[in-house]
Amino acid sequence: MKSRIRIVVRRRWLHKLMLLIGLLALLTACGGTSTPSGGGLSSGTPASSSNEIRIGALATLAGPFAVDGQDALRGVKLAIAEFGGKIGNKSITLVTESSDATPAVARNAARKLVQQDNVDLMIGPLSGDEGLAVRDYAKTQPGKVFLNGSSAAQDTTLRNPAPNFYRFATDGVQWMAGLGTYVYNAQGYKRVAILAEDYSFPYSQVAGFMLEFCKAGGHVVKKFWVPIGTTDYSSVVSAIPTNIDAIYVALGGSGSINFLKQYVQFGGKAKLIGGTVTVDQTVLSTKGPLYQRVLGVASASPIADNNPDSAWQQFVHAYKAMFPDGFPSPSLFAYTYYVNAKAALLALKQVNGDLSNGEARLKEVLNTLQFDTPTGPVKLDHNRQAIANNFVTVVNKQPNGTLFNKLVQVVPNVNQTLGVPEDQFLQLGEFNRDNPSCP
Amino acid sequence: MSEFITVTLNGLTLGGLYFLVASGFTLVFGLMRVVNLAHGSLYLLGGYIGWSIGNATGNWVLAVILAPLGVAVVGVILQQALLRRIQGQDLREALVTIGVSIVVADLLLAQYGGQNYEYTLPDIINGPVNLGIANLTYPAYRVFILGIALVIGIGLWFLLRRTRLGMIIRAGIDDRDMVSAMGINVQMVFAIVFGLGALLAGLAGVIGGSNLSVRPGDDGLYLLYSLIVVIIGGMGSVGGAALGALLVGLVSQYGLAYIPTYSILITFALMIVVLAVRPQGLLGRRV
Amino acid sequence: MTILRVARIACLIAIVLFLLTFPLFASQFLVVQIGIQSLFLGIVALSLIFLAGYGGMVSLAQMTLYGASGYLLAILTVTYNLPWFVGVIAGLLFSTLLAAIFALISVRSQGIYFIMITLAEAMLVFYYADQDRIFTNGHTGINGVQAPTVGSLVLTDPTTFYYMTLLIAALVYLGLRYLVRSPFGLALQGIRDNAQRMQSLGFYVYAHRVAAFTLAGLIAGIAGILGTWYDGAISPGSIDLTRTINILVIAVLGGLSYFEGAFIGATFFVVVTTYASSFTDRFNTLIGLALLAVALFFPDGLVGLSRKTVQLITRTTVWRGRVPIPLSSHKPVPAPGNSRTVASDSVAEDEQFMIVSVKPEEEEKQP
Repeated sequence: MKSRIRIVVRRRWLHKLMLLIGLLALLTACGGTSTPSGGGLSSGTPASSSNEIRIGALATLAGPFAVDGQDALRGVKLAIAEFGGKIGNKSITLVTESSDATPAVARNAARKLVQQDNVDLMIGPLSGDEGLAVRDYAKTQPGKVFLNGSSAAQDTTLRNPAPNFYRFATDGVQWMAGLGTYVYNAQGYKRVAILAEDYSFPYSQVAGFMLEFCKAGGHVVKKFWVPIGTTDYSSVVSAIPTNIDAIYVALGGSGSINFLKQYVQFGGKAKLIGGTVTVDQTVLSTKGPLYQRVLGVASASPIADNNPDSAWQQFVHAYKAMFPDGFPSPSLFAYTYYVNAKAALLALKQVNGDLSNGEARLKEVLNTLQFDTPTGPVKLDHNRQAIANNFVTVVNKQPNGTLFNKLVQVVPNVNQTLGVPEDQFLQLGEFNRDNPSCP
Repeated sequence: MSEFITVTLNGLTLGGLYFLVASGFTLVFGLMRVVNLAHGSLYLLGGYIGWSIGNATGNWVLAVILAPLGVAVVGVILQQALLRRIQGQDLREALVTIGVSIVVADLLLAQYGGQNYEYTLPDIINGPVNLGIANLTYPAYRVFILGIALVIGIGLWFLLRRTRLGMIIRAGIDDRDMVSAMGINVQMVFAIVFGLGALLAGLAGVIGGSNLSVRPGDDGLYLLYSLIVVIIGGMGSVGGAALGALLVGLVSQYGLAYIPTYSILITFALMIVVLAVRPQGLLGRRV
Repeated sequence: MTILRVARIACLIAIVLFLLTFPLFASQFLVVQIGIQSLFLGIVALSLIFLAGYGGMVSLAQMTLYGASGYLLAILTVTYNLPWFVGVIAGLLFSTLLAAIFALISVRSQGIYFIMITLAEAMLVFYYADQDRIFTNGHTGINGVQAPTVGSLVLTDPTTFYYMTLLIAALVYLGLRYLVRSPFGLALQGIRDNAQRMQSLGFYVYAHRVAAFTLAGLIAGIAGILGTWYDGAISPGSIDLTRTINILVIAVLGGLSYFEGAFIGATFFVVVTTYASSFTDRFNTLIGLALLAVALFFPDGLVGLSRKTVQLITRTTVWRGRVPIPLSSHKPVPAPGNSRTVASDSVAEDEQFMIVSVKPEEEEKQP
């Protein structure tokens, strides 16, 4: 037995719907500005106040690179302190935003800095993939200046650069300058395996290493590309060939520690070569015993902890004085953020804080700015990418027991294409899992 | 060949760790029908507390004993204070556990920061050990994990099959109302079981954290592994958790060794296949 | 016209006016970051509320379906340089198709199993997107996705985009409200309440669920197109575990049985996450506590859902003998003669319904 119910619906809401559509159609027809080339929505630039300069800093204060992000901000603060916190008679206000190494969050944070917090220029981000996202955002804000933090994917400036995005620190490929040749000649490694995470920054690092190593005559017998965030390297460790001299490991932070630990546990015997973030300050000062395996590991980086150069020593001194609870020596992240912040401040000083006309004068100055950093002179190429020195280091032990990267070689004035003519370099194609290759 | 043996051993030992994590999860669900999505945070909590204890006292064994107990206490409090009042409403319970997991993860991040924490293991289980077959050396600690997993597995089996409490638990899994009608204090049993589940999670946190390191994000990762293991093995079945853990461990290690890029997808594919063929899991009951 | 009715209508008009004039008085940042984000996140939450509140299926795969259409749009328009409408149509088709596939796998499970299976499916797609270099470009994602210019409408202009998003959100919202009163919607609610009974009445329960899930996939896909144009990019970070849970949080905070809850929850969530980071690092704790508070003390729409879900589960689990909790705390609409409520509160609430006639004991062919 079923009941049948007829239901009548009074469609009042349908009338409301019609009204709404009509109004919206009317309003959508109005408005419209130029189309940005970087994707996303274009935006107007709100005016800034005239007695302060607002500088935004974006770093990963959440997620796996949180510790690096903290050091990055220390670099920015150090640079601002050098200028006494003001340019001319305008005081500098620092506004910070956090990201978590994902491009989407970095983009939102950049948008918040520029459009809500009204910063005049922005420094950041920290990680490679975020850099590509921020560069694209910069293209939608042509009236603001963006400087890089530590993001080191090469393509951020080499391919599709943004005219208002400046990178005063070197990129992931440049960071490997000198290492390939050094391990072949000075350490005698001829056959090498490679272990790295499968994304843009390690591609740059491996390419930078291999370009020199293969040219010198070395062979890369096997490459292991692991998913980002892998913690269990046991199967990788067991698959590493035995007839090699060394493994080049381009893992950062937590991945590096995990791998090293498991490699030791499995009784692995091959030597190690480090990527820039494999044996950097954040790893060397971790809590736990990884001592013996890490001693003697060669690496390359835009900084060297014990660089005897007075400019560097002064920088370390200033860092330690201002941040007694920071690292024993400033990390890569503190340094790159410092250099980019300093470039911004130098340029601001030169134009005496003139940010008018879409910051035109500031951009002009930045385009041709050259100055001396703690690691040597820096200048920009036509893609607004830095040309600077690079250092080959080997891990050594201080008298008080702490580990540090000892400088063994300085490679001067490295450019983005490692000395190769640019069109030839671009011909090599984008660097990925299989490119370059020398089995 | 030796690579194959090593990878198989890796799979077995990883399976042991997954079993440790998933057993608590499946027990709680089986009896209380609560999907404890805060299970991963309990794992992480165990890892951090264990590290703090080990760091403060220099004694790893103490950490292994005390941290799980601490987490068990947290678990019982969680169950009594929050879950008990909304008993029987699955979705609400799941939402509460999600809320707890978000809060716990964030508080742990505030307290411990974003970097890795390494355990200091006692020397006898640290470093390689010679296995005798095919002249292989293998990490002693991983053998230890397998050992612990076996011990816990046998212990759980014993608890469930040979003790009165185990009998009550099994009866409760089958028919909770009947058990209550027979005069047994079901609420007490729930508290005990939830505490046991939390204990296992905390223990897994210490053991797993000692293996690699403790870091933020592990909570989501191990929760996901628990889910996969339990979906494959069958919800509510400890034996299923063992079987599922073994399968997942082996499959993921073979995948990592031979097809590293897509290894994680193979694990998920395994899960989807099991779901398509036998939705209640390999050893689960039809629901 | 009672005073209550007048107040309700006045309220409604005020809200509509506010939404329409929002860009005129709010800063561009508010319009873009808060307004547009709340709208397209709200659309995703709508799909979840539709499935959860009216279908009894809590799906954690909605952001994944958002990502599916977003990725296809990005791949086709950026990597392959195809025109925007190809990207949009392909994206929507793909998210719908993927939803259908997910549904076929998951729909046989119910209640909490369903949640877990959809979570696993979501993670599968996330890991694939994170790893694959051929299509999805791995962790980096795809940048440079641009909203098109359609005739004289420049969609990259934030105000234009806002109105377009508002229009689409309104259409989806009204469409769903209409749908749940249609025979399909009513049958779906019936299935939510008592699948076995519906099955015995001749309804194809699984087919219904698959259809509902597929539709929800289309809705999430629409939001995916909007969100990807908004961001100008898509990456695995847009569909990871955190974002997946965020949508659930949004829907719960708003009220899982109410479509309006989608937008209210989304606005609340976006406001908190945007501004909380200015004065505390612990905004995640705030979100978690809010979720706890809602789940424990203000179930509101949540109570209705949890009761219905328990209904679903208690029919098929080993808890025999548990008395079903009454579905609706509202009084049913009084009707002349012999009547029987077919579905639940959502029908009873709407005063625009009138039961005009009841014919008992009439043979009827089932649809």
